[in-house]
Amino acid sequence: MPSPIDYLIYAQHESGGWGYSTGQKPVVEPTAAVLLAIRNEPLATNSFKRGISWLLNSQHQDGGWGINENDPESGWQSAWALIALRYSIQNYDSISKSLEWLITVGTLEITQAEFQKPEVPMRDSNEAFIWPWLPGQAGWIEPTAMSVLALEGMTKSQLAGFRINAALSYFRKYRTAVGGWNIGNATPLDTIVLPRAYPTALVLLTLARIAQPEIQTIDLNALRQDMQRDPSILLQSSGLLALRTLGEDDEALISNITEHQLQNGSWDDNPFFTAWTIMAFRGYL
Amino acid sequence: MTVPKVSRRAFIRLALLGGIGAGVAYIQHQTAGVGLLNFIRWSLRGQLQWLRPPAIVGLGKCSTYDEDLVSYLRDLWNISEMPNLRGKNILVKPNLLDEVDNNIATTNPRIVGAVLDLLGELGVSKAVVGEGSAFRRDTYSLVKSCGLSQIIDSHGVPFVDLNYDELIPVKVRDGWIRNTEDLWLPRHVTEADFIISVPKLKAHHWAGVTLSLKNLLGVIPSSRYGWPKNIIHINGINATILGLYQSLPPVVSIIDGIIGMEGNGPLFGKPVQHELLAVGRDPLAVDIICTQLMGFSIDTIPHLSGAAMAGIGQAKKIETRGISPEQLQKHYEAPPTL
Repeated sequence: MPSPIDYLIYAQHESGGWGYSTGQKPVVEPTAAVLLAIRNEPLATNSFKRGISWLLNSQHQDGGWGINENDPESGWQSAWALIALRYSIQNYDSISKSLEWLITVGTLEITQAEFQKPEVPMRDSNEAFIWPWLPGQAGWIEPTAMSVLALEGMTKSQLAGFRINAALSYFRKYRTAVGGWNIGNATPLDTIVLPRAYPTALVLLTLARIAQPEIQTIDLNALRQDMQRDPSILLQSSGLLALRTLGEDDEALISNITEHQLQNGSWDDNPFFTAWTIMAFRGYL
Repeated sequence: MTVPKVSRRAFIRLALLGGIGAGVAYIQHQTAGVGLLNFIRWSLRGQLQWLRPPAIVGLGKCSTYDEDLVSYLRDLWNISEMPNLRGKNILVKPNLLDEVDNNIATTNPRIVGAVLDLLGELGVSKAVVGEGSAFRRDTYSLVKSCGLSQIIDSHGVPFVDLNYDELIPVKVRDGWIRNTEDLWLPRHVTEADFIISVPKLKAHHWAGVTLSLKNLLGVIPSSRYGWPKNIIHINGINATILGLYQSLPPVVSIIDGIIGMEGNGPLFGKPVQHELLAVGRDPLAVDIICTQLMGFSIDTIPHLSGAAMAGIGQAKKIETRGISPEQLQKHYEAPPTL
């Protein structure tokens, strides 16, 4: 059986990126995830370089990325791209531009122009500072977690530090009653929602980097419970990576994921899911 | 000091001016954010529906999902003057929003199976089932857990997670979706000749009801707009439903109302044994009839009243066929926000 790395090399689009399925045109999120997965693989050196080139060629003048090379609007995928570019040390200009975009991306309450002033804008609510899916919108768990992962350790900007602290407060506030996180508000329209494994895994990966003592046992329990409810490989892999990052290995889970590998070496014929699984098995993002 | 006397003529003039002022203020309020020209255009188009033929909505009474569903749907399809789908490329869009403790939040898989059987009889060229969950990163795991995967596999029909499909920019139409010229939509949506919207009949805490028009929000790709279809939080859910509908290929409706949901839908409501199936080629007409059969007035459902006002479908003249509405009338508990 081909290895997952073999599959990712095979699934690379001729233009250098990866889509969400074998043969699909490149998309920023799976491309960035695959680059993270193959970055230390000697057999994939050429694929890595071509993937980085695609990512650089797809970057907008403003420093961000859209969903693909044709999408003119920079959005949440920019955090993924920046995380991938961190491991390609030659691209200082590109990294610098994307850092600037991510630090100053506007929210529902604060415009990019306000963020670009020397002083940090003031608002009563931390939610004014967290990261949206698209500029000018309200913040949500996933883009916030990904943005903090992208910025952490990359900048000494006062504004970045301020926004990361706001994210930490937001994670505290929106933890569900049973631990873990859903996609956003834990009680939308006064309805209690369940935590979900994917956003929970992303927040745990983020907290493990910036504030590990904030992680509670109920968060891990919530993660495991949703992983039992929902067998999606994406959830199993991202959850496993979060658990292993926190020192909680799970051989049964690894076996279960391995059993679902397809004959072509992939999981679900999906480069994004396969990349997550490779990262989960090796134990780091 | 004497108070100046107002003549009768002056009083009438003042009243007239006051009335005009109030009318302008009302129109201004009603058209805020959309523009007066759009409002006038929509209103005229809405009134023009009086000159158009009535929409046909076929209604059936079916007590359980164990019955011969394709037979019911075939009969309803035949009495509802539905379009000829022979040789057409079809996207079947069930409602697979999420799953909570039971299966009543999603379109019953056996209804989807019956639709696929019907499409086979109608001689379609190609059918796919597609959905993009608003709350889950992996819609296919929901397809598996609700039992739909076995059914579509047995029909040899592929499932497409619309959140991750290749995306095509489509021009927004009719002024409902603001601040953008293009809506990025999944290729399987833009390339379909027809979309068959197959929602579960449910009350909805934000939109009032979720039927064939509201169900279409699932085609918005979360990989572009975020989870849960975050454009609705910026543009407004009602305007997004109507703008999206007009940017899509033709949509026809098949409603799964055998067991509906009342109260705190779309996820946490209570089941209603409604025994209703509804079919029609005009989603607005179908949704209006089903809303009334739930016991709600469309005046309380902004995306339906807005569509009716703007002539996005036929709301003025609707003819039902099959089982009479009186036999299917229920009184659903309203969602908390209605």
